[in-house]
Amino acid sequence: MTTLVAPQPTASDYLLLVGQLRATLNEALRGKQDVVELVIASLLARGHLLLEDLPGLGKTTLAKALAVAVGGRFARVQCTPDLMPSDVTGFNLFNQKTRDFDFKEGPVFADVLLADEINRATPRTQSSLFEAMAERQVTIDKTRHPLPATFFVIATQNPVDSHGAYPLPEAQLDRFAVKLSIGYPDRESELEMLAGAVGSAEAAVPAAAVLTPDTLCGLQQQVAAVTVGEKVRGYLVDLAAATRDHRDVALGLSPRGLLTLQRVAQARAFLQGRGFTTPDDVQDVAKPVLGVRLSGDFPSPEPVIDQVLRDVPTPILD
Amino acid sequence: MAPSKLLVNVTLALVVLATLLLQVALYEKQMVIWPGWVQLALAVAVASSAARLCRPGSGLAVTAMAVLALLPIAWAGVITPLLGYGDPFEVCLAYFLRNLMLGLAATRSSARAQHFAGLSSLFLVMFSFLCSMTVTTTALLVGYSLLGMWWLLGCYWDGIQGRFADRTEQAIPVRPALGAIGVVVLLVVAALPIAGQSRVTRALSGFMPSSGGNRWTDNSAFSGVGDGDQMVAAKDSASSFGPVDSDLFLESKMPSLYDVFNEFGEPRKRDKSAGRRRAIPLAASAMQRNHERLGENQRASREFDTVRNPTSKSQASSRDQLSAALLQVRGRVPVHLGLRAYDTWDGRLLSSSGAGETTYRKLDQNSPDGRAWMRLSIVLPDPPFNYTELHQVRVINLKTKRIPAPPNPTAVNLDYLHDPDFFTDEEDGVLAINASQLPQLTVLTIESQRTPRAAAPDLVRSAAAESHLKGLAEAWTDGVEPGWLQVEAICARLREEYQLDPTATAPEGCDEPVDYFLHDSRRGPDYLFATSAALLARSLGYETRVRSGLYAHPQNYDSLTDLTSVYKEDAHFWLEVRASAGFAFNADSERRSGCWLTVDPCPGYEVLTTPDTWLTRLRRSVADMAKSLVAHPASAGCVFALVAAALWFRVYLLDRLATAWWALAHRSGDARHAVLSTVRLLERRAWLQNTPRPPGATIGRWRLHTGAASPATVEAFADFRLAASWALYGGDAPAVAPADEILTACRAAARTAMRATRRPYPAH
Repeated sequence: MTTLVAPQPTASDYLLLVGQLRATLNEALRGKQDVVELVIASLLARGHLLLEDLPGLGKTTLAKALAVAVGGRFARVQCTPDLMPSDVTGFNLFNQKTRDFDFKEGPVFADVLLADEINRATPRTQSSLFEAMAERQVTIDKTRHPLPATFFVIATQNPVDSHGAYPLPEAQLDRFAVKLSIGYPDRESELEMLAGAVGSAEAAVPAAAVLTPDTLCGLQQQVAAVTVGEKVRGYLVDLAAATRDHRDVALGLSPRGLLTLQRVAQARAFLQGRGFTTPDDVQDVAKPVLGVRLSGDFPSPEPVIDQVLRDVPTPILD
Repeated sequence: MAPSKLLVNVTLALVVLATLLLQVALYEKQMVIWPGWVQLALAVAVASSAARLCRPGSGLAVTAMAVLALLPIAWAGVITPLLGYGDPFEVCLAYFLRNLMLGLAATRSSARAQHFAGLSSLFLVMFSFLCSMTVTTTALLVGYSLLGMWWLLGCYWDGIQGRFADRTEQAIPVRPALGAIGVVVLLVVAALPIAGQSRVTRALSGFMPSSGGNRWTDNSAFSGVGDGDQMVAAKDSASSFGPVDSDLFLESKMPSLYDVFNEFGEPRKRDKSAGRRRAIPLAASAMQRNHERLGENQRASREFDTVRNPTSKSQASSRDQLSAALLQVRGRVPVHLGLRAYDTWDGRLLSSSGAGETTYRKLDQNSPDGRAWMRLSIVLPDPPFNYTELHQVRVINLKTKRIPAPPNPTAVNLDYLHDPDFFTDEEDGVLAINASQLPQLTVLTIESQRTPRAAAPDLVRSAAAESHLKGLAEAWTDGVEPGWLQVEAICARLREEYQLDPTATAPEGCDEPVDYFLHDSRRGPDYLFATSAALLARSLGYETRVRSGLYAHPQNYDSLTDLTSVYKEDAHFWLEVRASAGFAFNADSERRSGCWLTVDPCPGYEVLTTPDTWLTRLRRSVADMAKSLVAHPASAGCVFALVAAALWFRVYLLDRLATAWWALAHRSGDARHAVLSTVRLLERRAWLQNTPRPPGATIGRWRLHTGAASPATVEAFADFRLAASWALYGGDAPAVAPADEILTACRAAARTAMRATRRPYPAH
């Protein structure tokens, strides 16, 4: 008897899938191709995403569209000060029939988790996401509960309304791969959005999944295999050292952050259709990756990152 | 670790101060200053270009540093032989260190490099200050010290800023030590072919190179060891007599001013041939006994401090180095060294009335310079305008007891002189020694006070004596304001309308040689010029006298030895006019209290002017340089034209050169190699155009100038950028396109990108 084995997707198949995912997300969030590219890069780099922007700019829409497109389970947590850790991770419930405790999974057991307004949750609740984000598992009553391999957190926070907010600690920020701001769409995109809304009673939602958890894992494997040459590795280390030596930066790039920067740069190269990473890829993702990590005496890390990128020599010729 | 901005700026300030201090210190030492400034300008140009165009630590920056370091060596090897004068070896080393320091400070490289630049500046400052301890250098040193404290603070804070040592280690820095030894060995090996074995050997044996040194001579050296041609004031083991300032005295039968009591208390046997009446007593320890014949050195020479340690080398006996000069003069020239004064004229004879003033003398042993000076009373007009001149007169073959002194001597120094009566006034008021003649090789240091002509001092004027020359004098000074200007007008007229001719003496039997000179021959020797001018001025009521003596001519100045030789042919007559002291009780006291001002009516003779300012010296340096160019017009013109053309078309030429090199490297057909060489070409062109790639710009983000590029060119450039990314970072990844397409993209990029012309493109 012959065993039938499903054919493995080829590189071109993967690029096709990425193209479809890109199109789907661009359809959901118009006029924000750059943001979409970085969201996909973060997803493929197995990094979590922090969206920081004003209300109504499409954070939730993007997260939902991504969840549908990825094809897994989607869960959403609206963070408030009274949200308990067990509301996120799940809890053990005594079953009178079986005279035993049953584990009730929390929303964290999803492929895509949207933690809306995460800075409104208490630090205790925020911390409950630490283990889930870093190790893709939760431990409750000494029992380890693994999360899906494609577990992906999209957290949002509102930078304006600071009443009753609990800023995320550096340790938790370091768990996010990138921090993005969506920003207002341009005029053309807004006109297009308005035209699309006419005649439709409900907000448009992506029709079908583009990926499956397996194909997403495959894509993530492809990204991990993208070449990072010695020069680019040296450049990454130089950048990290520059952030640590910068006099305005209190907390520079950690080794975990450095690994994340490399992985997101690999994802960026993959999205460009290249099998090798260049300093351009590193610079393209430097702001969202470093922006979530650098802290110091400055209102925004962007000028510091710009200066570091300007000052650290890019490796070209020996 | 990158240095902080504060450290970089303070280091730069230190380096600038140290450079300035070095230049100021060498300004006093160097005979010709413009080569030093040209070298500095070149070094600053290279350093600033490197700072602007090179990334710290890049290959280009290292090349610039190498150029800076080699500049003094190249100058010493190529330019110095052409010019005929250069810098001593230690100054070349100082320039070497200065250039390295400038390069490191300007390129803003690592903190360690900044520290090295700072420490180098400290070394140079110490070197400079030891070279020249003047008010200017002291002021600069104080400024440097204050800034240095700030620099140390900056280094400290920079070192501890945001970092603490995880652990400490105590280890012998083997690698740096070995590296330093290697560098020293390399430098020595490199110096051998450049400077020649003998010079290096001499430099190493004496630690510093010398002008003496066992017959080896460096004309540019400031000081030295050994017994070469250059004269050195010995500190021990003197081997010859010479006109130098030395504390050591040799036993000799030659006439001398110095007598010695030996340790047994026996007076030395008097040398009758010397005809000496007075002598300066010396302690026995000051004398060195010799049992060999000693050489005599009369050659013009610079004065050197001896750095002479006892060596096992046998000293060759010195040769006599004879000179035909009467005197050698160190100090500014031209200078009139008066020997006689004539205030009486009987129509034919110049003579002294014997009414010369008595000079009051006082011994000053508390002078700041440690010398014992014989102070002479001279009253000068308008003291605020006066300035002091210092001349050193070395008696070689002049046989007189009169001291050949510049006008208005105010102090005389003679070694071991402790007796004011050693000097006397001759009947014409000229200072002399109380002996039959000045012994050979005597060194006199004479300080004189001068009044600048620009100050136009008041002249002593009395009722004019009746003279048949009065009409002529009034005609020559018609419309000229009385006083100094009238004397000048008379001299100017003589210089312009009369011809100096030493052979045109008055004919036999002529009783009025001055009239014959003024009205008939209109040519004559210098004494007729001087006498005529004196009589003409006297006819207008000015008190004048004629002086005879020696004229230290600037054309006899030897820049290598800083001495001016005075020969028999330099015997000369000139004129002196009495200036008022500005205060007097009556006419007679005014006449007696004034001083004499030198005027020279002879064509071709100049009176010493006021000391040069730095601007004047700079002007003269430029003029010297221009003179050198004028002396060799053809070769200078060719070189100038070539250099000008090369400079004007430098970008174009270098671009063509780089493109030709790229074309050669491009022929291999290897795609990756072609891409890399094209990237190198583009970087070089950008550097030539003064728009280098910013350090943080990637090939993809680097906005290359492509001129009015067509869409096809833009597309080719995009392909090239992709190919460059692959070649630079792709590793083993397959090529992004077939090899021929990559080569095409490379050619397109090289053809259109930033084609260099002689003028730079506007920066982006």
